Amino acid sequence: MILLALACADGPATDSSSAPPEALHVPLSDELLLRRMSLDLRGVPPDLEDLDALEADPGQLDGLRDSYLDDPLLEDRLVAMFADRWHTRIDEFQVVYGDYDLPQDLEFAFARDVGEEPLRLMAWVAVTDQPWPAIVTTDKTRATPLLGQVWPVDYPEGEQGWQTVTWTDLRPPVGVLASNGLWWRYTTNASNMNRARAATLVRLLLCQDMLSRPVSLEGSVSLEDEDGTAQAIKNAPSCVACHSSIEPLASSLFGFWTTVEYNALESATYHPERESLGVAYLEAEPAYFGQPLSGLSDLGVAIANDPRFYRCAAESAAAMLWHREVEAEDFASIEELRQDFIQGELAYRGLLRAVTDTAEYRAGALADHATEEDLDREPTLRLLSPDQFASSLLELTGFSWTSHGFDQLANDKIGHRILLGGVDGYQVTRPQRDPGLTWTLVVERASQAAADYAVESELVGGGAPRLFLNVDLAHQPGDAEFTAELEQLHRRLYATRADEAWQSAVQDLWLEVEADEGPAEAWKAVVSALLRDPAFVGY
Amino acid sequence: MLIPLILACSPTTDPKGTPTASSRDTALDLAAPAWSADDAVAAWDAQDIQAALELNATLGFANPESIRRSFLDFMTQDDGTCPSGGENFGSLKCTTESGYTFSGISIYQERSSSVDGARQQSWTHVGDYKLTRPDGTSFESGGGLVSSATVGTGLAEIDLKLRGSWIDAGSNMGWFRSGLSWLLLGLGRRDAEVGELTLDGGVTTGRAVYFDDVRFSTDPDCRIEGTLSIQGDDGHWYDWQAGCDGCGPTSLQGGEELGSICPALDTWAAAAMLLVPGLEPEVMDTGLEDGP
Repeated sequence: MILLALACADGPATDSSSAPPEALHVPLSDELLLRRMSLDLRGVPPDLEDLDALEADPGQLDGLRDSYLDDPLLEDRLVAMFADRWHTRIDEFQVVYGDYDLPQDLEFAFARDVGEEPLRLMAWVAVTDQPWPAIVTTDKTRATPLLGQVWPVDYPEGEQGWQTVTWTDLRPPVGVLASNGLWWRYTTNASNMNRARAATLVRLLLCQDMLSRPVSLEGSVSLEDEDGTAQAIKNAPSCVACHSSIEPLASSLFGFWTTVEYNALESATYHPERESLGVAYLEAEPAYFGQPLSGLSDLGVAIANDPRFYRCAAESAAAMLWHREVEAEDFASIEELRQDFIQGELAYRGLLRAVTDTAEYRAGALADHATEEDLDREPTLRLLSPDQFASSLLELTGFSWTSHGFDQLANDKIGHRILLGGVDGYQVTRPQRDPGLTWTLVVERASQAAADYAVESELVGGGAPRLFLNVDLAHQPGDAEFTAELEQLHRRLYATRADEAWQSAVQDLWLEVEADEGPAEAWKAVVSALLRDPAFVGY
Repeated sequence: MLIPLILACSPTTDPKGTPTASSRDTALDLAAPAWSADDAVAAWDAQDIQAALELNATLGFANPESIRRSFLDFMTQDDGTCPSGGENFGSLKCTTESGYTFSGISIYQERSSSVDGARQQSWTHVGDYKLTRPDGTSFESGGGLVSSATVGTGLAEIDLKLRGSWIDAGSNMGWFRSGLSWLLLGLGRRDAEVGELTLDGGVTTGRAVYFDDVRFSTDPDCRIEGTLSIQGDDGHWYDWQAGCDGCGPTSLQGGEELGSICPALDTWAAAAMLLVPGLEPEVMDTGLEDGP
């Protein structure tokens, strides 16, 4: 049912009166746009107070958006959005919790902390308004007490949570380029020699995918011939095109070269004495697209001086918030974002603000004259990611789905992240855009569990009100409190006001269940259904 | 017209040297913001290089024989069931009756033979383990060591291949206690008159040092010779061209000359010579123990 509803929906309410006649994008209504901004920037639906403020004065929309950009929740959202592109939040690295004698109930926390380390660094640069190149020039990173216990960082004693720390093992000040989390995810070996890592940097920081370039191997040597391949890389024109850039870049990364893979001591520590190995192994001096480097310490600045770095920042921010790949047709929009970004002192929050101002972001539908190609390219209805779904359930109901220390919506080892449309960084590298069968099953189970938790803790257990603001188990349809409760739930969950038909349908459901199983079960059924509604899981 | 525009967009650096975005002129927006770093000039002068070399030398000279001894000391705690396999163990984790814990994988082989009156002694050790004493101090490894020596009458030779990371928090040697990472090749020899050791590769004990065919010798007229590099706080490398008189020019690697220094490294150089068999401390008369 949900599948059909989402697939056939005309899209959320839009404000067609404000669309210029020739515009491709039909803007969302203000309240749904506020909901989109809140979910994208905070991971939770907007508060009632924000909806009231917007209703009283539609001119407050941008101000509310700006307050979301200042919200502490932005950091977590950026981490989640960066994760979909950087793919570092994998379930298991070559070094695992057991290598540090950590207990099994920290298995998930360990892998999650490692994977988030580079993402947290970038999010920290963003939310503290440091110029964006700091992500490749800072001597800091971010760490939890767990990472502080096993990595060479100066985690402050007595602190909790993610803190800004400095590496204590002499690694150069190059931000994410010196990140354990990044290089534990992107490993290398004796034949690859850091080449894949170099290509990863080019893809993530310059938005150029060297692996997607057409390569003709016709007449070349067999890839099984290691010596022949090594020669071809240096001499064959079809190989040299990429490898003349990749080899010198790879040569700058040998401080992260390990002599024993899977070894915690080797993997956690930077090895400055190995920096020059690239010259011996790859026969290539470190360089950045022809510009000589003295080593990794120069690489961050070289990237920061590359115009492609800024265009890539704009492009990837747009892709994150537009929920689609950026294409050639977007050149003008991306160029405008890039220039705004540079003029705005390279503050990433300014870039996010600019993206949320674009017609692409604010679209609730496409105009009638949109082509099939337009419709295929531009999704105007987004699906909640596993992160957004989990944080929204937590905010509204207090429910968090965990098992044996694992966040069940954030892992695939024993959890359901991919099933819910998420990215695991290995098997699935792009978020699911449309609902599917497994997605429906996970949403159903999570909604049921969240509804059960909210009812049991608030209405049955008498806990502090969180989801239910008006009723207790004695209230019935027809009571003012019951009606007010449904109204507030509709607004908090969907950001719009309930109409009479909806109220009536929900009351009928409540009465039907209540007759057989009582009011608590009736509320569980209602809330579970509301949380599965396309108006909740879409935005 | 061009000059004012260029000046308007020149990079700025805050007092701590952190690159900062410069204000920009819209006419130049197609360019990337210019970022600078303090890498164009050496952050260290010659005296800084000398001080760093001398400070690093106080940790002692890493010695694979000490690592081997530490490992073999642990193996004396083998109680027959833990670790299973003796010196070649593969243990998820076990604790001996005496309270020593073994976790990980080890390979250890030693071989000794005599050929034409010369003793051939070699040993190989590969470690991916964590060994913990009852007092909680641990010896951790991730790497491999190979030592092949031939000792005959009036002549000794050694070939060393040293890789990986090694740390023993319970060691009384500074370089071992604070941790060691290396990828280093060594070739040594001695005869009745002189001993020498040539190192090629890098070692990090405290600071990273790189030996580019650096030759240590017992010859008091030439204790050290070759290009020895040390990494600065900013990540850049500084070269010292050591001459036989213990002095030589320094430079930012691939960059400016920084002046000549004569660091006090005789003790350290003598400790390096302990890697060559037959040159026991009392024979060397260096006044050294096995390191601080």
